[in-house]
Amino acid sequence: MTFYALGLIILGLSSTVAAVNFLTTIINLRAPGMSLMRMPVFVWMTLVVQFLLIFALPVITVALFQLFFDRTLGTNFFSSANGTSDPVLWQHLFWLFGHPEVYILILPAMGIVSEVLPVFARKPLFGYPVVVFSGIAIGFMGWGVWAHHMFAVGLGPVANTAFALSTMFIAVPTGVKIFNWMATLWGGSIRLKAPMLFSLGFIAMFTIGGLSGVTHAIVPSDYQQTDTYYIVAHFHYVLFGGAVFGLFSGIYYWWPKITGKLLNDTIGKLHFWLMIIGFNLTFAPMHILGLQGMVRRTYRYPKGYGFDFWNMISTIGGFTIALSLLVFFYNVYKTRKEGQVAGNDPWDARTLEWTTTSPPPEYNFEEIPVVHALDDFWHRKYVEDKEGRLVPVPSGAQDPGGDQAAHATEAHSEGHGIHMPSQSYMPLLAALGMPLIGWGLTFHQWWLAIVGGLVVLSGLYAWALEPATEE
Amino acid sequence: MTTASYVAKTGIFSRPTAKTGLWSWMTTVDHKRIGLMYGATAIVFFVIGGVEALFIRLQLARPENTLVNAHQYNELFTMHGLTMIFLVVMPLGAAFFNYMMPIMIGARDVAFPRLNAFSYWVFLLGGIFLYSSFFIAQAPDGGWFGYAPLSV
Amino acid sequence: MATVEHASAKPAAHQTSTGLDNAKIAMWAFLGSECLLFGAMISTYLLYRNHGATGTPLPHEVYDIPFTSVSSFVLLMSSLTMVLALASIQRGDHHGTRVWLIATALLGMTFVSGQVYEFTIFVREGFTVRSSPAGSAFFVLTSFHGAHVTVGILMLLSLVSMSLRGRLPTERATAVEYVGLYWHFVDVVWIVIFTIVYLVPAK
Repeated sequence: MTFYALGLIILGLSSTVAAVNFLTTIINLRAPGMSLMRMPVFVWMTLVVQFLLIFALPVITVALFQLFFDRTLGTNFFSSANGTSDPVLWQHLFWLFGHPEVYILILPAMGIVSEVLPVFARKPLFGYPVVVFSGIAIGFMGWGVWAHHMFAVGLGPVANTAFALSTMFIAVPTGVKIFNWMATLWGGSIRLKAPMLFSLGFIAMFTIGGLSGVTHAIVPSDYQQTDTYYIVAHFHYVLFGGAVFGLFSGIYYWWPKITGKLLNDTIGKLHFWLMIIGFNLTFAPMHILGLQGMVRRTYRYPKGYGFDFWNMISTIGGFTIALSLLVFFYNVYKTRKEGQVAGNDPWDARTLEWTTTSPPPEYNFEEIPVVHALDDFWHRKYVEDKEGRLVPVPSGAQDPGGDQAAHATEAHSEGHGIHMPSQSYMPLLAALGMPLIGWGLTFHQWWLAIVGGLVVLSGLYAWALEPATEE
Repeated sequence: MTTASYVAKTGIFSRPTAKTGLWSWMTTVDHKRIGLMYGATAIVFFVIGGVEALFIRLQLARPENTLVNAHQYNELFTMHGLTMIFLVVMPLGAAFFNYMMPIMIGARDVAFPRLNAFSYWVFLLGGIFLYSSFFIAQAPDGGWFGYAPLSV
Repeated sequence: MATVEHASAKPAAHQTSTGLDNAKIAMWAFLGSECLLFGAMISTYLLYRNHGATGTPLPHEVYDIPFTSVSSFVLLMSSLTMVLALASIQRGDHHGTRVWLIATALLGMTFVSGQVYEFTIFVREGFTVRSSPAGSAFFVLTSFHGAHVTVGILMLLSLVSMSLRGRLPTERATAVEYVGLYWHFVDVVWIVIFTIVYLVPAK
């Protein structure tokens, strides 16, 4: 478990540093006219996630260092010879991180869904400010629910009640988002392409997972559910049915922008249906198994308890998911060469990334766009007539600075005075020292840890001292 | 232009300039390339974490199964959880934050491009460090939540 | 993390959405995460301050408040010299900048030396990182703080080195400002630690 402690410390460093970077980018590098309330919802959710990362990762880092010191130095944070340490401290520190972590996992997917649904319903997101505010609320409220992972630890009725209430409250902003997504779809012109299917799957599966989550919020119910497969069912519904489906929606949605080619939609639909059927076969039975008393985190269950049938179904479901992934990989492979060329805006979308080429040039935009409204690109393409019907603007798809396709092949960053940052060896060099430190500390080879530390330090100093640009 | 062209304009601190080939990826500071690397690495870990899940499901398909023993099972579900959370879902999020977010706000790159690259490499090497445990010692086996005092 | 030297500083004309420098926002975000880092360690100490072990002393039995008060005052004064260093570079007084940066570093080193000396006394009296949960909590908290001060000292000396080589002109005063932000933060954390850990009486 020393690998666990040090490995997660290293990974936490990566995410903390990235969070500082993304947070600064969103706050400081927006195009002219892009006020915060004109940012796409995905960008808003990204911003909330970076705040969560910055504040949650240090807490688990402290816990992990304490665990590492207990294991290596014989400190007494979580276990001691004379018993005055408190192992529950670990749980508090871990879940203080762990609960914001689950919002870190789900908010990006929620952001993706908030982008995909309007495009494939040809309707603006219903209640944009409310969706944004709910995301922020979830970010704040997520800090106040951690001990719902500890109902059976013995914190006492007052603590349990307080956390039960806060947990029930946090379902509200989540529910608000779901209602806003439904309202986005209502009356829309729905196109059931692969990205849309995954987003719709997200809404359905995440709702189921959220409902089982609400049942955990009630302490006496949780006493039965905790440490059973009912919990396993819940978190897989929200993490797989939620986050993973949402991420696949993003993969299918942005694939043409990134690669310049569309994934095959028919194969994508096959992937979706196999995956959602396999997913439900795998995890739905776990609700039943859990309530029947099957314990989690144990390598086998006895004969004669009646768990056999649903476990077998669940295993079949697992392999169905694997099959669906093979379908996805086949799609990737098949469309590498033969895929349909995407163009700038294959989905007739709403946000700025669809104004540039697919894939974008190194410098992203010929000219930095000036933003006049939320969904600025959409409003350049369409206006509404008196009956509220969409009327295309003749030259709307070519925005100012938007002859991207025409210029892209000729443009060089230098020629247009666009200076992009130079490449560097130093981030890689500095990073290489990290596993060396890890291995050194794990195996008590202090020389190796010191070598690793020197590699990191020299990488950082060289990083600071290298010249700005070689253009 | 072929692969590396290490022009020593300013001694050992010269910036690499290769635009194609392996070194161009290892020294990139372009948010789009970094996003792609995050995404590809995350998908690889998704397959690995998925294989761990399939082993779990095979073990649990029948009661009192003997495919894996208790200790191996503990390693499997611990690494499955750690992989899916820290090496798949979070990095896939980072892949999208990296690739799409700057373009969606009309920026040319992130605020600190080299720091961005550093984040990716630390992620990759952290994942390698975690998985090295399978080969050179024992993989973590205390669950992704590592409850004390068992984990101590 | 090298947050100080920015050899690849962006051109001054780079417009930002807030008008603030990227590095300033990044430093504040980083300091926000550090708040939680020290917060978690201070919380651990608050839980364990009275969790001793037979035969070993509790923290308050070994503290030398007058000595630590002097150390704290030294660190507080280093924040003053840091401010003076920033004022110097902002008005173009580069010699003064170096003087005050070195003074800050020296005061920081005095503080760290005082900490190390105190720790040796505690260890001699049986209060160690291993002796009890209270010992573990105390030493990890204060050592992490000391490590942060040390990193700060290294950054201060790097600034002095840059200034001596002519690489710290007035236009780059922000480098001194951001190191200053970090330094003041580390000082504020110490004020909190000194108050909660040393001054608040044990039960």
